[in-house]
Amino acid sequence: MIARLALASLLSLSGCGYTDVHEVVLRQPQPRRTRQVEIYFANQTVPRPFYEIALLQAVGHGTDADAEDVGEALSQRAASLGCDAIVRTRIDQGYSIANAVGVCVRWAGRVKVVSQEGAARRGIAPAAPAPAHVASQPPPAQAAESGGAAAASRPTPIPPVAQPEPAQPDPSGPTPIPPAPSADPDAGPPPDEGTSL
Amino acid sequence: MRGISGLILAFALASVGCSSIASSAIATGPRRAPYAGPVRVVTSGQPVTGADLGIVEAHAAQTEANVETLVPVFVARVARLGGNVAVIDHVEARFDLLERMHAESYSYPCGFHATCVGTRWYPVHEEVMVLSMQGRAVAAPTGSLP
Repeated sequence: MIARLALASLLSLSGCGYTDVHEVVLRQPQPRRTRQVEIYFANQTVPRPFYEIALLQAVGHGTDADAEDVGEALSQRAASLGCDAIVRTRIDQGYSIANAVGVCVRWAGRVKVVSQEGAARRGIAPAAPAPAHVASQPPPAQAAESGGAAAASRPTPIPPVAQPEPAQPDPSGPTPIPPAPSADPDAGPPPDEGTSL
Repeated sequence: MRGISGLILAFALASVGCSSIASSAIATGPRRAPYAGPVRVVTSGQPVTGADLGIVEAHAAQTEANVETLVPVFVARVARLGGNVAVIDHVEARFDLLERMHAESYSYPCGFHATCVGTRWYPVHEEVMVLSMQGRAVAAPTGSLP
């Protein structure tokens, strides 16, 4: 009994836990991101248009069976795949296992908030808000495709999904107007090459 | 003869091992012939234009409970329903505690300069993760894929 207790305490001190990361890549991965990967849970609205890169899963065992470790594992893998965010994240917690699943995405555009006064000063007409679920970028070239017997990839356009933009306070004017999408030098269009399963 | 074939079957099953991967589908839309071409996978919740052909579910446990294993199974089910788009709506994990018997050997002195070995069995509880992937099979017209 004492030996078992000693073994258990030794294992807990040495950090007896590990995390497995699994992925299904749906598009060609992008260059690694240096900035922090944002995480959105399944019931959260994603504030920007995006396109999916991969379906990610992290499974934590032992001392790694907690939301912090599996979330960190997802973030690291998403960053290495060049993703900006993980959307539709779901974490299921067991007694000695934790599972996290999310969709690793890359931003397809950037929302820029311009006040009416600022727009008038610059001679810009305020733009109407973008409706939800519309394509706001040129369609990418190829989607991830996977098949049964044939399993041959074929170019298929996938426009990014536009989500409703959040209301953000404008530092340059008291009356914010609906945000207008503008080009993001950092967030390019989806890649031309997809990956078959 | 029947005994020999039974033994062969038992040996084959033991050598293959039991897989925890399973899938099912319920056709809810128009019946179509199985689709042999490539199937698109949509995971981000974006709307897909097309006809819903059915509900698809795939699950696996323990080491097979991962997306790399389940997505091809899910896609194969979608193709069997005739769909060319696999929409994954939910990926959920659930955890069960299973009881199994564990054998432990031990030795003890028995008599003069003799050691006996015994085996005892006791139940242990093992946590099992079951990963379930649920979604839809959609037949989207070519060129209208999202």
